[in-house]
Amino acid sequence: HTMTQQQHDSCGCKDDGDQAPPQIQKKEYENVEKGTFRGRHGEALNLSDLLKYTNKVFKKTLSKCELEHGEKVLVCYSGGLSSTALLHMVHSAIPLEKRRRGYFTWDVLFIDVNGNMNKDELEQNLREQPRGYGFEKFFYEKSVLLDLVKEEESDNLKQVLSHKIKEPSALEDFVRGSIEKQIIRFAKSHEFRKVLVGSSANRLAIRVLGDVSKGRGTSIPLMISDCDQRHKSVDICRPLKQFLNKELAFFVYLNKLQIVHQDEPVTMKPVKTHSIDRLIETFIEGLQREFPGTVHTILRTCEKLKSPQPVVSKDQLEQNASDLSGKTQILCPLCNNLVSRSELKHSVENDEKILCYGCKRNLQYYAEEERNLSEDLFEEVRAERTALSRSEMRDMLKDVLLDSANEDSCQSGDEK
Amino acid sequence: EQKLEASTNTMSLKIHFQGGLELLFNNETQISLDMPSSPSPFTLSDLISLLSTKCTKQKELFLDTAQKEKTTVRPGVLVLVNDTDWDLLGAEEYEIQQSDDIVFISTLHGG
Repeated sequence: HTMTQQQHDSCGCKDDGDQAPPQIQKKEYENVEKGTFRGRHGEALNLSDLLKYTNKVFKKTLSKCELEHGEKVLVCYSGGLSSTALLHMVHSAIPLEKRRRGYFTWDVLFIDVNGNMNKDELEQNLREQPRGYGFEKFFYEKSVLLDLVKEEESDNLKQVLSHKIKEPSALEDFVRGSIEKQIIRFAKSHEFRKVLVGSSANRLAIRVLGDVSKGRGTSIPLMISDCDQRHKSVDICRPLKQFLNKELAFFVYLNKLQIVHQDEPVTMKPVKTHSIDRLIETFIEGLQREFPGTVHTILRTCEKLKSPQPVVSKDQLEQNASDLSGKTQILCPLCNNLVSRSELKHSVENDEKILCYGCKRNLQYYAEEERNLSEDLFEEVRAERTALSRSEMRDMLKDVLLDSANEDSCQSGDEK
Repeated sequence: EQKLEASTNTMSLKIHFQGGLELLFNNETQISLDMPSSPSPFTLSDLISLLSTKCTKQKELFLDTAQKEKTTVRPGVLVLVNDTDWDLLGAEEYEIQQSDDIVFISTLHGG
């Protein structure tokens, strides 16, 4: 029941989006080999098949991250299934000899969301994994969320945060945005140009549909890109984006890798009253179970989207807000997504703080005392606005020069 | 390790929880279960039903409450029987055998 080489070579490329896998009959499963799982095309895969497949697909996706030979890379590790698999795959992908093509060095960053993990134990667990991971340094940081609560309240992070931001969707967005910013800040301060994150295909599909529903569709092409360059000096790379959660879970389980569970700082509620992302997760996972091509169909469709080109001329600025679909280079200080031109114009005209549409909506769910966002948050926004104004001016001059050139050529044509 | 007892011991199972599911079962990563004797086979569906009613505080985080036709785990929860994907063994209809090792892994949230 293990797959043939031909099936294996093709299994990373095709997806039967609309067909449910055939039901397994009792006589068939009496002969099933131990340690196998059902792949996305209904075939039985064992550990050896899985390793060949993951190695091939991971190296292919990693190559799109454009790592330079000998570059130092930061790998984010949360202890969960995906990031545990990521560490293992990174270690397996690096050639043993430094002079070989594709060689790079790597460090690990662990952000302790609740501030209750033991740094030395975490590092020791990783060093003692079956193959002995070859990372150089292990960085440990407590999450910035803990700065929002008093020390004596740190054990009740969930309760404190849920008082500050009552609505689960807004709270989840805030938590995710804060941790992402912390990672970027860390990478910049330690001069990492590339950061690898363990975003699986399922996670990305949930994220894109969730952000579309929250008015952040402009950033989708960046969100699912192999190498996200929105932060300029730091690129976020997603080498696991082709892998389904199921494949990663089996990868971790069959390789006997240890996972570390971090309790999420969002209160557990029944799914129906939880956040938008949890509802979408339930929806997508339910479909995926019946139709194993669902997740990849979502991602392939999103890959066809392109962010509109930045607005470059004075005339476009003077258009009505409804016509302005261009993106700016300004990132929302709360969620790190792009702020659309229409939101930027609206904020400037109404003297409001510059946030993306989704975060503006979220603000209404913050407790009264939390709605006055710190000016420090907007430092990068101000810098970007100044830079944008200069580029706008350059484009305006370019238009004027072009008009002059046209006039000259017309005159010379008339003379002829 | 928690032990669930039934009226008469006939089959013993080991059940493991990973990926955060242990939080729904009093932080127990492993449970030993003694199954009651019965002429009819004890399937994974029966086991899931038993676990959801007796062990979990928020059963909709473990059980798929949207499914009316069958008792099954929530989408995103993987089930392994003796290190093998239950999808290859008949899923919920798999008849549990003596000393089967069953693992429930949550792939939801986190990363």
